[in-house]
Amino acid sequence: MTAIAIENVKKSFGDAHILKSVSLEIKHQEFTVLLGPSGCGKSTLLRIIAGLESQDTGTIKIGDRVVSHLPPKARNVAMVFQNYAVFPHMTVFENIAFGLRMKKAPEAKVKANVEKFASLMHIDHLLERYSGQLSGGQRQRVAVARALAVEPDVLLMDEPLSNLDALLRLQMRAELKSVLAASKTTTVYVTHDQVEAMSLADRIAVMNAGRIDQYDLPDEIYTNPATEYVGSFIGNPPMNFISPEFQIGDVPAGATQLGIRPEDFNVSTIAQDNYWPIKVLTKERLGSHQQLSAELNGQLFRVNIANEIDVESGNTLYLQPKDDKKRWYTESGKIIL
Amino acid sequence: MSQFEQDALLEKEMLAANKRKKAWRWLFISGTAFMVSWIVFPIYLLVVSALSSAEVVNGWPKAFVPEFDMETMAFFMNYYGVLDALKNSLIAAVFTMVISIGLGTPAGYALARFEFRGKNTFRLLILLTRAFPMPLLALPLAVIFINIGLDDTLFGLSLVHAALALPFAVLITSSLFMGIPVELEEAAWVLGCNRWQAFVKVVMPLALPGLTASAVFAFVISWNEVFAAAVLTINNQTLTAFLVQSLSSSPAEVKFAGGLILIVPAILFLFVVRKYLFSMWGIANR
Repeated sequence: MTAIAIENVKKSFGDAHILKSVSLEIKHQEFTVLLGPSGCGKSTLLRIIAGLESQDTGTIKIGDRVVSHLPPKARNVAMVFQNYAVFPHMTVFENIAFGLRMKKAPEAKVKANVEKFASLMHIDHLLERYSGQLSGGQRQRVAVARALAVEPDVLLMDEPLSNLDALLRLQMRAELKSVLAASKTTTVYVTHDQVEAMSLADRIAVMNAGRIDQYDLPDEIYTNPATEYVGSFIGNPPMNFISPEFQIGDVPAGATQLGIRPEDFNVSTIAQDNYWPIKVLTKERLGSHQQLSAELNGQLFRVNIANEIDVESGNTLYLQPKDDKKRWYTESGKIIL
Repeated sequence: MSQFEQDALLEKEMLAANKRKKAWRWLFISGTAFMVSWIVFPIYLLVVSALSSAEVVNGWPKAFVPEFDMETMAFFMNYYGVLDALKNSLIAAVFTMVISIGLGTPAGYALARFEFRGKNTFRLLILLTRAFPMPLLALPLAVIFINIGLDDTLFGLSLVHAALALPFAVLITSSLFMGIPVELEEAAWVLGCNRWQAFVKVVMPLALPGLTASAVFAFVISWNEVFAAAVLTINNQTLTAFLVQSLSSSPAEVKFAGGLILIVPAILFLFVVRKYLFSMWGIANR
């Protein structure tokens, strides 16, 4: 069992409080994505798990071992870096074998593992090459194979796809997903790309300014954002937050904001009871649907509507939030369940 | 404009472009030739003079191709003390190389990888050691060396030479290490290395061409240094000190022979490591 338990981890660099008491329980064999904007502390948290950075306070447990004060080599983790960090003076074979050789694995085992993971990552024809003779995507494959070859308890990945071009990223993402699902290694993956997070993760931890706002299944994160921040970070365009003076119907006690996704409106082109008459500012046709930004007395609405609805900027459109999609938030931005 | 006129104009333009290209080419070739001869010509004269007999050296006109009269060289090499001085020079230069790389590499690594208070001041102070001219330092150094018994030893002299070479060793190696992504080391740590193993297995091989270059530099600094060598050694003179003291009254052709012996090892050494400098993996890191 290689669950990871992070308890009350804090980290500051000088006056900058990068992590403000983070706790996280990552289940055995789960793929967890740490998602957040740059500077939210997600990479620092990953590096603390790896042992490349030391926490100011708090403990890290991998399995039932407390590893908080162990050096990286003693934690039995493997890491894939954003810039791949493939050793340029070694062949692909030696790169993948590196971790096993450090552990003094028998030569037969080294050879077997290198071949197994090289063919898994489709680089078995490149084993004699040097990093300088590889493309970015191939280097990335080497880095992943090198990490998997040591059969770590935990695999850590720090924005591994962000240096690849868009098409390759998509392809690698799909491939990573199947490889990691097959390897069943507990994985922590850092990214700022919400689509990557949604598509890869078993569970997403959304981080905001040194805290974890929500740690949940991707669907839950999308449909029930725990905080206003999560709602406004996930989704493209993000959730609408509508102030109380526009509310129609019952408002739960303590609620100050209504959160509603752009696609969760009833839309009408003619005036109806309990509909907001909004003024369309811009319209973008996106193929599968149309995206509107609209306004009512200073409140901005972002709305996705079907292609069939005929509306131009300047027109008035009538909107009503779907009852079962309404999410209510308190003054401090917490969801009311 | 008719088609014909247009063609004529086009042709004119192409001719002009060709001319410009030719002019650039000439400038490039002549510039290169000038710079090469700037280095090569003095060496050529030295070689010709060292390999000629006394009459030819002092006579006029000079031959373009040396006559390869080995008499002067043979005389010089058999001159009492030359071989010892040559050996001393080599030993002092190797000591200097070892000391300045041995101390300069860790210092350079620390400058490249660690944040510590006074880092920039330290960087400046390193260079400051070069601010004091050797003649100013030589006498007090000689006194101190006599007091602690380091006078007239090659080790003592190497310490002085290492002091001259160290600033460069530190600064060159630190920029070398800065050019090696820290993620490579971190990857090695995660894969089971401690700091020292990661340095030996990952950083060192990548830094080797640069380390070699900076070692050669230390070697050449020691090999060429005259003043400290002349002041601090008496019986264990290096070649430079020996040449300064013994050959000042020698005939011209012997001086040329001495000069040749002095530059040959440096040139050879540079040629040997040149391969190292450029060819290891094309690009040092990435």
